Amino acid sequence: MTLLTPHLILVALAALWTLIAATVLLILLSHALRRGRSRHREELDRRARPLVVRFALAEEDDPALEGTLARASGAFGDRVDERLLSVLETLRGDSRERIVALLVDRGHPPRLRRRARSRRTTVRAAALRRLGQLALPTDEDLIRGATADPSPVVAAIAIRAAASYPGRASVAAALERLRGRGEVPALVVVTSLIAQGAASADALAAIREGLVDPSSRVRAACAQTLGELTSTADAAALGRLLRRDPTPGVQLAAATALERVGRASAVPALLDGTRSPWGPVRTHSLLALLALPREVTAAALAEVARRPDPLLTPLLAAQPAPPSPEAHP
Amino acid sequence: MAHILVVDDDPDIVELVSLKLRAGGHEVTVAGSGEAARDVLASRRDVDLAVVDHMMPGMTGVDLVRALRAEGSQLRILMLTARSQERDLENGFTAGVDDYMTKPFSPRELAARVGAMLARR
Ligand SMILES: [Mg+2]
Repeated sequence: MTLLTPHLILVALAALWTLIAATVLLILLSHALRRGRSRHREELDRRARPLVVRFALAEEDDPALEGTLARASGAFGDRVDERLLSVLETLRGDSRERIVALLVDRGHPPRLRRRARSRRTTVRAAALRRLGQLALPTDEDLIRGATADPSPVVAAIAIRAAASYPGRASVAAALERLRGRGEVPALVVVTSLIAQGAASADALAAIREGLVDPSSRVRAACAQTLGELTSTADAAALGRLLRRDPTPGVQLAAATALERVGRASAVPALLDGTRSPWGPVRTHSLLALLALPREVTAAALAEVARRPDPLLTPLLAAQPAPPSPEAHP
Repeated sequence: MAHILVVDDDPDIVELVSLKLRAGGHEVTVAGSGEAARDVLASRRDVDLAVVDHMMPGMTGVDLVRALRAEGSQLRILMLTARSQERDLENGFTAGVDDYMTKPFSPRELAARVGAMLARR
């Protein structure tokens, strides 16, 4: 049973050290490789960037430059595509159109469409984001379909991308995702709805209809969106929602939206809101009242002031006193 | 023509904005961060206007403007911001931004805004 001879121990130790040294060497090597690759990429970017920017800003056609960019291939071609897509995000107007045309010329969209069907979620998500940026009419259905992707990450990207096609169908696709188990954050949907509502009257109409949707998450998202769009025409509808909706989350969304779009017509609903059993609803109803001109809220604020409320009383006390009528000549 | 400082952490935007402004005959200096912009402004007194990005790691555009105004700087400042951050702009204006543009923007409009700001002496 004397297997552990001193010789054997030495051999084992030597083997162990060799293994450690080899591992360290491997790690260092892979670091150097990665650094080298990223340096190479930066170098290619430095070459591609001025060409892409010159192309984007060109006031007149420059066939030589266009040819260089259209023919760029391999690793350099990849960096040209990356730079084109990055610049695309920053620009609008004819510069944007020109870049989209070049990316189409370079065969980029078919590659993105293939990747949008990849089994890897990160690949699908990145491709969908890019397709949304390009906003080609042919990809509308693909992007809208991806809002139902089993991965919530991919669905969220697709919902944002669908804003490139504002209208009833894209609003419906975004809202549909809120009816599920709630894996897509409401904020993602609201961001898409804001962009769509600002760009399309049809989308805005669909968002308004969402205020009476059976799903409370849909009603809340639509209320929040209308507030962000500073859609004062919806003050009355938001007031009704604040007054009658059975869900506190929806009441809160309506009260918060009214802070931005409140009108005199919403004052009775906001006053009701200050009596809600839910603290945040009371607070935001009062904030919405305070955001309105004092001429229309004086009576309501006086009523709130008469009721002792641990949340509202300090909030009211912190307000600057309204100018007294005697101060005016 | 004027001397313009372009401050943005995105090299693509820096290249884009500075090329557009240079094409308009302006002298352009670039800085990749708020901190770098302060260094430039400390050594160069002849900057007439700054185009400043809102979202930058470290010192944000608003931080930069606030610091400059606190020092009494009268530099004209145009802020570039993403549409989603438009609500934060109240901060920008209270900090002392003269004008702003939301991304995505049209380069022609940017040049026009800069021209208009420079004309307002
Ligand atoms: Mg930035």
